[in-house]
Amino acid sequence: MRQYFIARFLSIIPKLLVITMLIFFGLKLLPGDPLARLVNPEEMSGASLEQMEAKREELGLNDPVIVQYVRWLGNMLKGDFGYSLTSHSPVRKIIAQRFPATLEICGLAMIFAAFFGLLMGCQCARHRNTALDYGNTVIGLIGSSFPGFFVAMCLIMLFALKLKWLPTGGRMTVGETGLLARLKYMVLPSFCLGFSMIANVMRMTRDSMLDVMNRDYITTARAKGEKEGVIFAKHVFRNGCTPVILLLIGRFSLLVGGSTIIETVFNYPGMGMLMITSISASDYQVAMMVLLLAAVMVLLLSAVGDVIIALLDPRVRFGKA
Amino acid sequence: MDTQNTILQIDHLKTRFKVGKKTVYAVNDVNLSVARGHVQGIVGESGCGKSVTMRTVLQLLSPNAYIAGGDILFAPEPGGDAIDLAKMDRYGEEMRAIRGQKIAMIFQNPMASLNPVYTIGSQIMENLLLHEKVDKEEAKKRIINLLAELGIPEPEQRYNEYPHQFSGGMKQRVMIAIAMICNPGLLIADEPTTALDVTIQAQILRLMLELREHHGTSVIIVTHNMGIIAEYCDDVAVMYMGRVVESGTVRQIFQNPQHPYTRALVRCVPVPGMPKTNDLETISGSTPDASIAFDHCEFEPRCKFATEACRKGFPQAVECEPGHMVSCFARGGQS
Repeated sequence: MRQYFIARFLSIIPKLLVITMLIFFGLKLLPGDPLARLVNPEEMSGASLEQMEAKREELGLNDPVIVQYVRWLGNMLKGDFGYSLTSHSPVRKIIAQRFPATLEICGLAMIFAAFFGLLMGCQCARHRNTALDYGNTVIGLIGSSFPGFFVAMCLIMLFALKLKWLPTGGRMTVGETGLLARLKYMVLPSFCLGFSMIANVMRMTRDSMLDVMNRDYITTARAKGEKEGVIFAKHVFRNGCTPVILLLIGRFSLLVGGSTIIETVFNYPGMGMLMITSISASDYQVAMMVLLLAAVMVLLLSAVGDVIIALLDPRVRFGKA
Repeated sequence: MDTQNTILQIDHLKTRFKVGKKTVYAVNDVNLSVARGHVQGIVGESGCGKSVTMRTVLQLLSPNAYIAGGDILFAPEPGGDAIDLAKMDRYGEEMRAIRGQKIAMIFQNPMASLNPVYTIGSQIMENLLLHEKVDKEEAKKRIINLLAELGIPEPEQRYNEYPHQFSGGMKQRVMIAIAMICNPGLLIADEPTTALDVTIQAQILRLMLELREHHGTSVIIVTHNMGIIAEYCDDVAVMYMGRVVESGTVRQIFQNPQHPYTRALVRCVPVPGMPKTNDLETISGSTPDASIAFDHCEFEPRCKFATEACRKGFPQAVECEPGHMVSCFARGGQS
């Protein structure tokens, strides 16, 4: 078991190397002087050509590309991500501000989508072909067929402008920075992000649960004299939620992508907004790091997903699918 | 009902399925009596309703199935009262108290009948704890003893293993352990060996006979294999299109088959030592569509002895010798 977990996390490393390599060479291909991205621009202003050349030599920019790559990787591990071309502040600092913001709304959206998707999907499966099943399906379809920005604007009009329950956007007010204070800023964007996922999660849950409900071992459980509710909770759910977990994990990367639009609508200072502003300002250093971070997140999450599935299903744990 | 000698008596049972607008008449009129302590065989070709009949006993039916009539009288104690299982609510407490405790069932496909995510120990434990108040240590000891009795090597270790670590035959032993842990009075085995290879088949069936010896369990074996009936059963009922057409002891059915269908079934199996020139008998045609309700004997279209009377109604069962019942107009049946 522990061996499986270790192996699963070690398997991230080669994938990570490929991704970092792509991003590194991407950075190399960018127009402009790399010096500007690597050194605090204030420090370099007014330097002579000789000084710049000396700096270049000092930073190893004249070394072979592979050597540079390894050195760059080392810097990354130390948390040195270079400098923004527009704001001149270290990329690490910028990301440290933005990353938690996106993580918060995406996390909340995931919890939201997982909770309601699973709940409604299980209801559909247990009461298949009834009004409850069809009703849930319609709600889910509304979520997946309306574009996120449209739902977002409707919600802003209703809850922020009309009812004035929630703010129209932003992340926090001055003086109130606790999680609870931030929560009211998170509700609407998270709901918009999660709502679009519910239909998918629900559909997958419904089909997967129905599939398990028709398995022979469910009849075995029934033949033991077990209650229907217990059969569902103990025998159906645990087997049926595996594909749903895979779906949720796979969707998380799309969520980060989808959050660009939602963050823009809600003027929410997250990674999505950062991505948009940095690309439109040709701030490649920042854009690339945002990409890298997103890729790392996806890799880590898929490993976490596999671990959860291994905990649920012994056949995975013992290396037999 | 003679509850002293009979454990289960099925009277005029009808089970139907609603499939869209159609109705499938799976069980039409089953009359069957299982003697206490006997091994009762039920034989018939695929789709004749033998499995559905057995699932109806425990009401382990899909949601679109329903009992359209008849009684299933079950007498757990000799001389005690009989209860009608057909009148119980399928999801109710009464039915659940019967399942797994008084009547246990094992299924055709042991590969798919165990939940892949729980250890086999916990799956046997589930049945035990549902019906008996025992502490876990005691329960575990009982389960390990039973596993050993069922011929599972290293039961202490196997207790904590998962179904995918067991072979097909071993899985069926585990299924038997689940079924037997509460010492039920009746064990229903629905084609218990169809998915297993022949040597394992023999082991599993012999095991069931041993259980009968040691625990006094009555057993129903559903099969389409005449050889299994001949070797392991005391009594046999032959089913065709949701009806029991003939029943009696194994000796009566094999040596003196009366119904044309039974005769054909007995003769279509090769017997060691029979002359090479003998042709095996075949039954022409195939089973009719079960979604069309018959108004006369279902075997008539395939029967060589069919007369005008056979096209007019259903023959009632007659006792052609003590304990040997047959339903056929050609054998003196009346409609």
